[in-house]
Parts: sequence; structure tokens; C-alpha cells
Amino acid sequence: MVIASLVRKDLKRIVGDRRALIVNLVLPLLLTTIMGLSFGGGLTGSSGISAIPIAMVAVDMPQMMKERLTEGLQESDFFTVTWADSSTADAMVRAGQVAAAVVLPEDLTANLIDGKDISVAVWKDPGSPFKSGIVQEILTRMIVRYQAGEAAYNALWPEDRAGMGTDTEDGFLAEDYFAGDFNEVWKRFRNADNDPVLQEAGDRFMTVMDHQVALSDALSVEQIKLTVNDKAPAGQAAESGDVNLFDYFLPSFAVFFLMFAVAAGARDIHRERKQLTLQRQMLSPMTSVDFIVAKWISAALQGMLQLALLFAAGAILFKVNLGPDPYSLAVVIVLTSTAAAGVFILMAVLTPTEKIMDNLSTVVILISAMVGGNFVPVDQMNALLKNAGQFVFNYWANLSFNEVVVQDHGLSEALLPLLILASVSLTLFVINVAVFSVRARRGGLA
Amino acid sequence: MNRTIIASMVRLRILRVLRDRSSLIWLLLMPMFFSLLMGWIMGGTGSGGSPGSAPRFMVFDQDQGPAADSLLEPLLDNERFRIVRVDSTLSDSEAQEQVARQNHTAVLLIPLGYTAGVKAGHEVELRLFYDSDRLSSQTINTLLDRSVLRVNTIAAARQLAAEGLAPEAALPRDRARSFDAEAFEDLWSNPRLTLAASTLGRIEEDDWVLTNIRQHVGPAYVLFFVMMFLMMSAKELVAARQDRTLARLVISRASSLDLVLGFFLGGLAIGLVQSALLLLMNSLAFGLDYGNSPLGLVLVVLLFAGFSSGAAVLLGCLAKTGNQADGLGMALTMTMASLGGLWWPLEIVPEFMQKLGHSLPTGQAITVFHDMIGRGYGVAELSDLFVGLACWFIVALALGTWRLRKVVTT
Repeated sequence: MVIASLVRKDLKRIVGDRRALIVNLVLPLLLTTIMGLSFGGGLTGSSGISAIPIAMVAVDMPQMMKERLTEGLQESDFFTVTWADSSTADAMVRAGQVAAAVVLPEDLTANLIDGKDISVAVWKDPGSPFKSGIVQEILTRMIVRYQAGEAAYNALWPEDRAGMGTDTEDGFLAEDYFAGDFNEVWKRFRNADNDPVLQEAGDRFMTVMDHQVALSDALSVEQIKLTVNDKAPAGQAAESGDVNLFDYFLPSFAVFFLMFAVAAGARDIHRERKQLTLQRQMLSPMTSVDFIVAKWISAALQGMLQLALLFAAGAILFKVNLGPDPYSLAVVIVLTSTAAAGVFILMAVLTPTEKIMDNLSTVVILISAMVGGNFVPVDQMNALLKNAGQFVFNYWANLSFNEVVVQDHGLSEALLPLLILASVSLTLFVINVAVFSVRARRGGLA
Repeated sequence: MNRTIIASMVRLRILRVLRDRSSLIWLLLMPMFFSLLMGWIMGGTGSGGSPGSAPRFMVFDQDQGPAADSLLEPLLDNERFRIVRVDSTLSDSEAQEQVARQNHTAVLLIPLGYTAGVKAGHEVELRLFYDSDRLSSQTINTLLDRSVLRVNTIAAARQLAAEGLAPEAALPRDRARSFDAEAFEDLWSNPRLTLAASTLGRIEEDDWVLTNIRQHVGPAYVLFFVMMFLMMSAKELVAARQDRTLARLVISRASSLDLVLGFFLGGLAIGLVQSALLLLMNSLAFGLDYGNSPLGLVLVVLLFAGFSSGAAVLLGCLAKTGNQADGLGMALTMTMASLGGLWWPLEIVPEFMQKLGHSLPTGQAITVFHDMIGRGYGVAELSDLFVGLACWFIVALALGTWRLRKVVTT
């Protein structure tokens, strides 16, 4: 009865605190919205990273090929292409107008036919290392495939290479015959009846094309199939369209702000001491155990209420998944809140003043949030930090929410983290009651 | 304007901060710790390390034959990982778990009979489990992909030399006389077509990454903690209002302008000292280099600290209680930090979020840092951003002044 009265009094005070309302409810929802908009479409439906602006430099590439290449590159919505000369491209990259410039060398076509060395350059913008890195990666993969094909071609038909020079013994000048757009080249070769050099070149061209097509066909069959499995970060196993990124962000921020809320609730012990209400209560028939149990229940209930409201709002606003059944999420919320209450009540019991508690709890919250996976998902942290994370309760809370909310698993799959949360809650509850009782008996609460 | 009162208010504010040990934690220690830890988490604090400390690439090679040796040869002696090869195997789910738990950076499963299969021209499957978030793992994926491509290309070429294409796909001249393995290896090792990548800017290194502590995280957390510290100190103004200190100062012939300047300059002084110390510590501890424009550096720090201090005055006038000021201060700081690109680089968010971020003081200030460090820009090139920051600063200070005058006169 006494405990219930104390809990009721604390909850009334908490509900009337506008700051708590802003920090504990509005801010997590606001940050979740920002994260959703930043990384995964969210409310507007536009998804993730925008098209990468690139500049292309190709001095001797026919206009028609440029148009084809532009269409091809822009078709995927991955790139927006601007053709430029090298000095303009350089300036565009340096000014950050494009993420990267792809610079094809002069006389590319002639050099390809001629067997000369060719170096394609990619100039990257220091302000867009991520996007320019994607451009580099794609180019590297394309070029490696070209290298493999060319090495195979030359190992199979070395005689073709010797015959494809721009200035061959029979007087064939590639740059003359391949000048102009595709239509012009085609007409030139179709009307080659009276030009033996061109006829010879045409035959050679047909041979080369046969070889190219044969090699291309042969390469399309992979003898060794390399199946690559990415680490399957939470939710990636699902189809990309099914992934709701708010399922990741909301629990992370909810647990982060839960720590602030519960710490604020636990700080009440100091406030009651300072205002001498604690001492007065100790003079009443109420025992020290009643008091600390009531504070623990208040802090835990505050956490449960906050998490429940956040998930309800998340379900309405962002369609956050509430788990496979009605009770899994509730169990995770209850155990997370009781563990948090245990941690911060202990801190309040052990610290001498409210100010020290205030600073210590904020430091603990920020560090726990970092190593426990509230800022960066646990599966993206290095092994050392991951090991360190296992010593903070929010690591296990995040794992539990991940199982239920992101993976849509039931309690059996989240058993280990839930058992750890339950053990932490129980152990800290006992320690809190014991420490507070000893302090009260020795007069340490005055 | 009473300079004595203003100077006293500023001095008192600085003394209070310096004498309060806990505020020193927030002023200096936490920002440095955050920078270090976030840089570490985001993986930009360095590379490789000693070969012994490099993450393990576990190869479960049941084959142990020469084809497997040849496949793995290009991956030997890489500074980013070390190959550990065993003749046992494990299931797909176990391999996945090993990578997810970061016991190994990647796991490759080579089945029994791989060498025999390659020789006979049969289809063989290799399974790689990797972690796309780890550089070492990405390197393994890239190198292995290249190595498999080589083996597949040789197999395809040998097939053309031996038999040509299959009858249903045959061409008149699809069969080669022979396959010159030496010529293939020669051109594979020294390809004609190559890619040369370079970063155009002040630091022309190819491994430029914004998540590196030297390039993004350091300056970002300086800005974040300067703003947070000043916004959270708005509760002091609320306390001064509530305990009638403001009223007493007015009686002692302090004008409302004196009070505004006293509070604003006090915050500005703290912001400048905090920024200077953090930037210096970042420079000494992590080798952070701020570019070639000391004037640009001074200007961005001055304008950002000025904006934060002005906003704190405004907040201190608007909040009814210290707790409310605390809550609103934290909410504003976190929102502006996340939207402005202090928590993650703006280049990875959609365009409309980039525009929003760049319109905020946080986005403008971090972009100034990026452009000074990465592009070597000076004040002239960054004038647009400085104008933007100055506008925010003026608006925050003007609103703060207006509200404080109203508070004092009513």
C-alpha cells in the first residue's frame, strides 16, 4: 500500500514534467524521422543515396557513342552524366559539382585497335569520398573484366593483334576508316567493293568480331561459381522493399532516451534527500526497503510507459513492426526497463550528490549508447567494442529488440539476451535494496 | 554601455566553468573521447596494423590441391588480412555466424574435389562469407573475385582452343589454334588498360574517407560539443531570471544591452576557448590538419560559437524552467547535429536532406571544415558559407537580444 502510494506520487510528478516529455517522447520520434528520411526513404518514399553526378572526358569519342553511354549510365538512376573537357572536369571535381570524373585518354579507339597501353583516370572529389568510391569500384570491376578478356583473346588469337594496327603494311589506316558516326562507318564498309584495302579490312573485322563473340559466349559460362554471402546485417535477408528502416532506428533511439528518463527518475532519490522528504519518510512507519522498492518500480514503470508510447507512435507514424505476437515486445520492454531501473537506481544510491549523479549518469549513458549499439548497429562495430558492449545492459536490450522488432522473431529466439536482462534486473534489484538498507541503517542518507 | 559590468559578467561565467570540474568533463574530455571512439567505430583511425594483428581470413579447404593454391595465391601476403587455411569444413550457417561475430573477417569454403573439378572442366561452387562493412573483408571479396575471374577466363579460353563453342552456339571462326598460357599470364599481370584513381584536392591520397577521425569525426564533434555545451548552459540564464539576479543587475544600472552582451560574450568566450582547446587537442592527438587558411578557421569557429551563444541566450529567455531549457537545448542540438551532417557525412543522404542540412549552421560549419581540409579552400571560396553562418549568427543574436530586453523590461 505504502509502495503503491509512493509510486503513484512519482508517476504524477513525471507526467507533469514537460522537459521529460520533450526529451523522452518527442526527441526520439524526431530523430527516428530524420534517420528514416536520411537513410531509407521514409515518409516521402525517395530512397537513400541520390544519383551520383559524374563528369566524362573523352576527346575522340564520337557523339553517338557519347549519347549511348550517357543513356546507359543514366538509365540505372545511379549516375547523372556531364560531358566535359579535362580542364572543366578537373574544375568540376575540385569544386564538388561532380563526385568524380572519368577521363578516357585521347585516341582511345585508335590505341585500343593499335595495342598501345591505355590508362583510364578517375578523379575523385574529396568532399564525396563515398560516391566517388562507388564510381571507382564500378570502373575497376569493368576494367578487370576487360583485362581478362583481352589477355584471353591475345593468348588465343595473337595473329589478330598484329593485324589491327592503325598503319599496317597493306595501307589500312584505322582512324580514317573508323572516322565519323556509326552510320558513316557502316556505309563506308558497305560501299567497299572497289577498295581492296577496305575489303581486306572488312574481312579482318569480321574475323575479329567472330573471335570476340566466341570469346564472349565462352566467358558467359562460369566454371567456378563464387557465391558471395554478405554478413546479413539485421533485416538484409529480406527483400529490400520489405525492409522498414524505422524498425532499426526507433528501438535504438527509444533505448537511448529510456536511459535518460530512468536516470532522471532515479535522481529523485537525491532530490528527496536534499529537500529532506526522504529523511521525513524514514521517520514514518515506512521502511527503507519500501522506499527503494517504490523508487525502483517508479523508474521501471516510467521506462515501460515511455517505450510503450514510443512503439505505439512508431507503429502509427512509421509502421514499425511490433513483433510476431502481442507479448514478445511487451516482455522485452518490461525487462529492458527493469534492467535500466536497476542500473540507474544503483548509481543514485552510490553517488553522494545530485550533480555528481547527473554528470556520471550522462557519461555512462553516452558511453553505453556507443558501445551498446544505439548509435552504430552492433553488427557494424569491431570485435573489441562488441566485447565491451556485452558489459552494458542496453547491448542486450538492443539485441532483444532486434530479434523481436526487426527479425519478427518470438521470445524463444531472443532467449539469451532476455535471460541476461532478467538476471541483470534481479541482481541489481537485490543489490539496490541491500545497499540502500545498509546506508539507511548506518544513517548514511542524512 | 557599461563595459565594467559586461567584463564582470564574462569573467564570472568563465570562472564558474573553470571551477566546476564536471563542466570540464563536458568541455574537453567527452568531446575527445567521443571523437576517438566514433572514429574507431567508423573505422577511420588507421589501417592494417602489424601482420599478426590483421584480421583472419579463414579458408576451409577440404581440397588442398594445386588449383586451390593457385586460387589463393593472389591473396597471400596482404597487409589487411592474414589467411588461415585448414582442411576441415563447416556449415553455411556456422560460417555466417563466424563472420557476424567477427571471429573472422571472411570465410571461404573450398569443397572436396575442387582441383579435380577444375581440371575436368566441371562446374564447381565456392562459397564466400564476408562482411561488407569491413575494409579487410571487402579487399578479400575483390581479390577473390579477380582470382576466380582469372581461373574462369583460362577455362573458357582453353575450351575455345580445344573444342570451340558448343554446336548450338557455334560460329565459323570460333575455334583457336591453341591457348598460349604464358601470353595470358603476361598480359594478365601487365594489362594494357589500367585505371589510375586520384583524389583532386589538397590531400591527394586515394584512401580519403570522411569517416576518418582526421577528416570528419574530429571537427564534427568539436562543433557538436560546442553547441551542446552552450545550449545546455542556457539554464544559467533561466536561473538568473528566476533568482532575480537579472533584476538586481538592472537596478545596479546595467542596461538590457549590457546584459545581452554580458551573457552573449560570456558564452562566446567559453565557446571559443572550448573550440580552440579541442581543435588543438585533435591536432596533437590525431594529427588533424585544418587546411591552409588560418583566417577561415578563426572565422568558422567565431561564427559558429557566436551563433550557439546567441541561440543559448534566446533559449534562456524562452524556457520557463532550467529543466525545460536543458530538454530543449538537447533536442535542438541533436536535431541540428543530425540534420547538419555532424553525425554522418551529408553526401550519403538524399538530395533534399542535403539541401536542408546545408542550410543549417551545423551543415555550413562542417562543410567549411571539409572544404578547408579536403580542398584547401580559403575565405574567398567559402564566402557563401560564411555569409550563411553570419546570417544565422545575426538572427540568433538579434532574437536573443529582443527577448532578453523584453524579459528585463517586464
